[in-house]
Amino acid sequence: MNRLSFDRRQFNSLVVAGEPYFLLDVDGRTFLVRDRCPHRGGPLSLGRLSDDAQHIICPWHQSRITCGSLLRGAVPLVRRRDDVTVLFPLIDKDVLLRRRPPLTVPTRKEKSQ
Amino acid sequence: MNAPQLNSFVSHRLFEGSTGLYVERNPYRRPLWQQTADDLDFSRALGESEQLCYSALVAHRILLTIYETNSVLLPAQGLGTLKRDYDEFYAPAWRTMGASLRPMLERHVFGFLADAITVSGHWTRDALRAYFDRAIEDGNAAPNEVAQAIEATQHPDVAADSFLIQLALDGLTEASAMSRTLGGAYGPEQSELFKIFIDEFGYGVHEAKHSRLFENLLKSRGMLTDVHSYWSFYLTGPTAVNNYFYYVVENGHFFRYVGAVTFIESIFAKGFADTARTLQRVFGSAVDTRYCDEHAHIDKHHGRMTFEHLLLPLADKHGDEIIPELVRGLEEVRLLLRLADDDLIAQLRWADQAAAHPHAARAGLAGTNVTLARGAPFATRTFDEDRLLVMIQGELDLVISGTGSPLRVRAGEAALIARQRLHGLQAATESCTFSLESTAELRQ
Repeated sequence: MNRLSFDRRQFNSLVVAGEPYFLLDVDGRTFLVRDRCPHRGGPLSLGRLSDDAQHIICPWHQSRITCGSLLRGAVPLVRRRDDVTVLFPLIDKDVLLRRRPPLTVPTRKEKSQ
Repeated sequence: MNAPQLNSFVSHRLFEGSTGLYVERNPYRRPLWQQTADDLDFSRALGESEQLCYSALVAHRILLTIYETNSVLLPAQGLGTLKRDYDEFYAPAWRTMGASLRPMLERHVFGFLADAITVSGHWTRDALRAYFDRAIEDGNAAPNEVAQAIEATQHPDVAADSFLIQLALDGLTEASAMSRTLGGAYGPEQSELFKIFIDEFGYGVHEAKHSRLFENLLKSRGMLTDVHSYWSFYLTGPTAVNNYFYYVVENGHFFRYVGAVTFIESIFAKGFADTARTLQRVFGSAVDTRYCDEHAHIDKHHGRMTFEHLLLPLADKHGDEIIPELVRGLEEVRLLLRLADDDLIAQLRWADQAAAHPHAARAGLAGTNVTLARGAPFATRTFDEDRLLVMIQGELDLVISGTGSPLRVRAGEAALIARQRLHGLQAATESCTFSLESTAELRQ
């Protein structure tokens, strides 16, 4: 396994071995999930949250992807303040880190307000 | 708002200030909270940046007391006149009251961990191993900043004693939290942990028990060896680390405990080898470092045993779902160790600077006066902001470390008490009068 550490204030999206991932905050916890819609591979990080905050709506075909299904395939991650460490079986030298508008699922408390 | 039982608990006669600096030969007596005008609110979770504030110190003192009502503590000289203290410390109603206060106090001081650390995603055994390998490698490669700070002070002997006092938090009751994980039934991993516990207990040979080795270390320094003699000199950060292990086992977070204990067992060998060298440089050959030498040796084995025969087999047997808890334990204790080191280093540096000399007070600074009589009950505390102690009449000892000389402050002099720094006040004349001014108010 290989580790990759970065500051989430600087980066919230990365490409490892050609596969895109993005940081998703759900209920106050941070996850690194695949940035690829299971329908036709659309960039979910550029999508939007459904009104019930349970789904991400893909910008390509408006597919509704449940957050729960995304989280099940999340990459092992540890966040300490803004320092994020993720683990991959292989990290190629062409890893790409970038910053995109964040997509955040509100906390239960925020949802109830 | 605090639970109503809190005042009853902290007002118990066992928890009043001590007659001298130390609480000698009585493990039940422990000053918890100077009942001053402070209105401490334990009902909210402190943020990470507030972990060294006064309410955290008091909460950790109360928590350690509550946790230890489930440990058997008997004075070395025999109970004798302490039988009443013993009865009251372990009274069922008293323990029930402590147990009811525990969740609020734990949330106050450990609640921040949930926000400070996230562990997410689908973890595998390979990811677990890789993460621990790297964390342990980093831990062992890091410079020993506490050892460096001790040797950099003007009085490294006093600084090293202050460090030993923090070790005494656990050193004299070593492996008490671990003992609470040994019951039950969890297969070969339980036996593995028991082997480590047997090492801690010297295979039943009292002279080889780690706490006995630690007593000998203290003796070689001419220090007190009774449990919690130095109660008033435990700092907030080190107490938090000590309490963390009780906190996780008392709350059923066994896998976090395993992650945390694996990490510390894996970095202690190097840490204690550093400590032994520092003690020998400071004190020469007169200091008995067998306690450190034992840890420097046996923790090489304990690091391997906890990792290979406890942590990994638990993950194999109980599935990937438990791995985030193992990782969380590592990260939580790593964060608390960092806070503890920062707290101790700041205390050593402040005591070193404060010991230099008090300075002349500027005229017209006196505010609300406080009079202290010689022999008044002693307790230590911290302030959440810098305070200027201005002596008006008589002389006072500002106690800034568990050993070494206090700072004598005379009428017309002032001394700065830096925020979050542990200190105590003792009248050096029949009575003395002083004021404590917030430096923020002075600036206005």
